[in-house]
Amino acid sequence: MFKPRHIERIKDVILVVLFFTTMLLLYFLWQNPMVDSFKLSKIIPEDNEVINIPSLEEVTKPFDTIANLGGGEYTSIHHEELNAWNEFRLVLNQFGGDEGIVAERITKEQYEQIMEFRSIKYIFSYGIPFNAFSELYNLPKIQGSDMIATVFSIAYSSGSPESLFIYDKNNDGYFRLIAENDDYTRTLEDLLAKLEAGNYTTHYTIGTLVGTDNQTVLPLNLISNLTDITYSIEIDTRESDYIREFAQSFFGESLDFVRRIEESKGNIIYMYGYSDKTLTITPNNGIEYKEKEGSAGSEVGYLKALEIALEYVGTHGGWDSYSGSDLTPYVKSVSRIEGDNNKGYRFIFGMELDQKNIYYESNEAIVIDVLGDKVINYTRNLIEVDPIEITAEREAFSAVNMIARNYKYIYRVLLEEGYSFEINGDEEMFERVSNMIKSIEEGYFKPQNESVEEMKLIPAWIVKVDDILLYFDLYNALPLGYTNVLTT
Amino acid sequence: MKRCILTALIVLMVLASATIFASASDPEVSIISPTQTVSGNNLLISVRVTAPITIKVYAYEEKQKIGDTYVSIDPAIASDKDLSNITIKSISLMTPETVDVTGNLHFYSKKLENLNPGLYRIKVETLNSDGEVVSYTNARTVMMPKSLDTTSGKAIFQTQNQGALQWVQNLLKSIFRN
Repeated sequence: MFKPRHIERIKDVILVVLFFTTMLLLYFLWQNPMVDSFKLSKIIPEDNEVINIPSLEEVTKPFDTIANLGGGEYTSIHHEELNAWNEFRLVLNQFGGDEGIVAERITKEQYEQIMEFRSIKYIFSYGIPFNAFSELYNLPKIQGSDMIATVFSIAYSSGSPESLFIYDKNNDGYFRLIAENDDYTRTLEDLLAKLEAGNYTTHYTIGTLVGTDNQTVLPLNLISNLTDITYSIEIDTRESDYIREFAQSFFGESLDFVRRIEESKGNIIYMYGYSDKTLTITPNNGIEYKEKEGSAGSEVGYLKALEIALEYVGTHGGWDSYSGSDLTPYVKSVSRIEGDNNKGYRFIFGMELDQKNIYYESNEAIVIDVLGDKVINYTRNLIEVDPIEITAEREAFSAVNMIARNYKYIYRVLLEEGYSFEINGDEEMFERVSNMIKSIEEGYFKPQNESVEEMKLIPAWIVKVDDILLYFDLYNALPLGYTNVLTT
Repeated sequence: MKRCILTALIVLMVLASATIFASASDPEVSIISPTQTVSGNNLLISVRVTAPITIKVYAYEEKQKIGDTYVSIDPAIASDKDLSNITIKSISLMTPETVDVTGNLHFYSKKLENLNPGLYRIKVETLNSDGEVVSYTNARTVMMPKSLDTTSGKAIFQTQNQGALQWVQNLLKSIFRN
């Protein structure tokens, strides 16, 4: 019926079909995909996936930009307003020209006197190592700069236009960078003029308004359009596919030798080895990844460690919000850490929404520890918000009266957090509390919520009193909560 | 006769005491700003109130009468405390503002803009529940022109940096130290 060579051909075809069927069955056995989600592209890895990672410059931005307009008047602006930070970066790039720059140490009194002139100061929320700052912003070589350890703020004053001024808060040092002439800073005079000619929000120092010494500035009258914003937690523990995919970014595609534990309170834990690597996902909260420190590795500098942190977050969860408004990350604080075998950095990232910082009551948006050249700790508590609708502007509660109304509450919080005082009377209490205020800003407060219904960002005054952040409703000054920065 | 004199004396004493009482400044009201001297074109009024009372805030420019006109007083003359030989008229700068303070600490603050150098006065009246003035507090300030002098800025570093020579010395020191 069939000739032998036909039979051989049939056998060959059957063998090929069986081979491919075997491969498919093995795939289904190992990957356990849903049948309707089967795609060849998932088997063959895609090498051209684009991951958005912010640059070092994009996450290193001033926390506040304060202009002294003279006559006791100030204004505080976002660093993007009038392109203020980029204008200063351009000045930095060509400051000193070919003649060079010389650094000298000045006293606190000299610094305060020169800042009383028309000036603009860019303040960071942490001290950036000076070498990293120079490299990041292409500063020309500065003679004598080895005495500058970190940059907490950098400023220009019209009282000394050939200079720039640095404050190293970590070491309580004040420095002057001197160029040959004042040509390099003319654009900053123009910036000050534009600010003054525009519609700025007048600020005064606390001392000027209440009769004390505090030089912290606050707005006289603030008009704001901030309103309550509903948010959702980035990671929903009920979405098992997404959770698995997230875990795979830490442990590999196959999750070989990885145990999965689901606790009664809803936590999902992935564990490799004897807690060598642990990923914990908490409902309505975030994730925490820990890895045991390995043997001594290569120590990397600040910028390289920050680069490692940015890339790690980019490949483990990503930087983009998945829907709605974009949340812009920035470095909120940096500290040195030390393990048994390595040294490194802890980076805390905050999130900005429409140029306003979001403050979490009891945790942070992203915390990442880079020890040596490896990430050993990563916590992520990101949120998603819908696009912000434009709302009508209204007057915020007077900042100075927000303090006047709440100074006793602030005093009680300080006592609860271990501060001790010897106070005689309300007047002295107010003076002590108001003198401890380091910054006041408007922003969003994210309370530590229990229920999904309460998930709202609340417009707030954020008052930093020493190391305590206190939050007050922006429009009625009622206390909302507080955070001890040292213990959180 | 004696009764008339006595009655007149009592009435005078009541009026005098009311006047004295009304003219005494209120210890619960302090004018924090402006201070005795300010500079620039804007004036910050900041009043601290330490009791739940009602206050009314006025702001004036004290102008000098020359002929039939009133002109701003030269700050140099205004700084002289004895102005008895000058005829002064208070020109109101704003509609007086009434504030009902609740609580035991409140700050009234307002910025007046585009003013000329001269002499200014802030008055804060304390009102009772019937709206009557029971006391008032005054503060005068001399507004100087905004300083444009930058030479004093360089003087801050004069002991440390004596111009180009010191710049060169610093440069040489830092080179050889490196």
